[in-house]
Amino acid sequence: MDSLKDKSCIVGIGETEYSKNSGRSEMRLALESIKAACDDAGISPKEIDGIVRFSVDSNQVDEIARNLGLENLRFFPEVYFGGGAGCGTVQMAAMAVALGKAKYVACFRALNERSGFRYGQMAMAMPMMGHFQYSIPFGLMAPGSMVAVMAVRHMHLYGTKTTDFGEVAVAFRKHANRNPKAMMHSKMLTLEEHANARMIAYPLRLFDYCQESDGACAMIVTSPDRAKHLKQKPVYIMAAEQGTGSWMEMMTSYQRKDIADLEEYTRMAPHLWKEAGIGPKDIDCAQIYDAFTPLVVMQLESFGFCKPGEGGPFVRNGALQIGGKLPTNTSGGCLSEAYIHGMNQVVEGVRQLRGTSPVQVPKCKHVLVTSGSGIPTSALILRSA
Amino acid sequence: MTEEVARLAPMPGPINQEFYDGLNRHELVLQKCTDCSKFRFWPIEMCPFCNSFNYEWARCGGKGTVHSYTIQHATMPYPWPVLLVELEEGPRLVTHGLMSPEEVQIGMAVEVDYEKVSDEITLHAFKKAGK
Repeated sequence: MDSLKDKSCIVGIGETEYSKNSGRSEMRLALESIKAACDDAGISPKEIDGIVRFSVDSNQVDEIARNLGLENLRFFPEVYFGGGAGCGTVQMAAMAVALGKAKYVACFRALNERSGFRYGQMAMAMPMMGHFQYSIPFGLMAPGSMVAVMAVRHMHLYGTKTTDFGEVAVAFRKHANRNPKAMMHSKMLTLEEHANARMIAYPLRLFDYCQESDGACAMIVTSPDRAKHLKQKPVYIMAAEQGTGSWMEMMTSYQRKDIADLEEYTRMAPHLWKEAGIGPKDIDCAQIYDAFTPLVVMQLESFGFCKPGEGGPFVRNGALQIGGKLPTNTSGGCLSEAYIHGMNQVVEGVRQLRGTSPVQVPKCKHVLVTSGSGIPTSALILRSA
Repeated sequence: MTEEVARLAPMPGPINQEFYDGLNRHELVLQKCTDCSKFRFWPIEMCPFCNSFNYEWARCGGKGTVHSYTIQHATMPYPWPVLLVELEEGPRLVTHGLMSPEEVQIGMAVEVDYEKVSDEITLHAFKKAGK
């Protein structure tokens, strides 16, 4: 076996509501999402024999297994690096299923990121050790500021405009306005409002930043044979990859030759397309990790939707909206649906391929999902049955 | 301008004590591989260019150019320029820009300066290069 292509599928998805204060524990959120994913698939939680967690998740596998009453969990890796882990958890599950190491693998992320530890305030909560001591004490106080440095370089090299970042924010907000689960469901956003919002770290203003959310998402991965007997149309995993690029350091890979190139994706993308056997032109809908708007512009280049430097022009005139060239983050993404470390974007990718999204792309056959930027990361290509 | 917040101070350890000792003496010293002669930053055990474990702490000229930047408008006393400076020796440093935000430009020549943030810790900062 030299490829993962179509050897596993996602058969269940589960979510909690998304809010600023869930009012319950991260363990409770995780269990709710896993149970919902099992119900969706039509399996008993007791059939789970593999669990993949984010290493940053507070919920340990043994406690989850105890809650679910699992008696023989066989596979329980974890994937590192915050939001970079998302698609990687599905990759682990896919590999385990393909190799017969587990039958039903649950992947999940649960966090009280708004009511608990807020990543935007990480500087105040961390001892200045490790590599962040070379950035935070100089004023680079939060992930957005670290991305701003890359965005300014991109603007300098290619003439990318802050209005291009606005196009990203507005496109995803329009989708959220049609998604009742989105935290920004009832809040409209215009390009003018984006341009006039509070500056936080030049060139990033308020609406260039993602949501801070409480909530959880989970999915169940199994084999195509088992999927035949389950409730949902399976969504096939065509390709799954992890990547780092060169000189990787979490959020501040500034020693790279070109800091306007998100190498963690650029160098992963050829492997991903090769495994899937399709290319960017075949993607009907993208779920692109959007902690900050410039990262979407840059990822479009990394994955070959446009040439390096052309991400700005690409997103203009509503290209990322439904009906545009590449409908992206159709549930609102991290910017406008919720920040569940991008696992909500895996869920939305599955919905699109089932044809059940509230913001459905017609005849959606192939979806790209990406995970966190500026960190060791991962991506998936999914297809409908 | 908001109320000034205390500068967060790093916690030196075995791998980077020399770097911080240098800053306290107002010298910018970085690791330099004694096999391939390349400088690197931040302090790590192995030379990522030639995989040698051999290095010395070598003083840099303290001159470089602004490779990129951001201006903080929150948390720090703002607007607060943060520069990514590419040193003549090769490595890039995140640093505080000692100039007005309007003056900051990619490609501008800068030179090292120093800011004492506590009794134990002095950090580098960069100002416009003298003519």
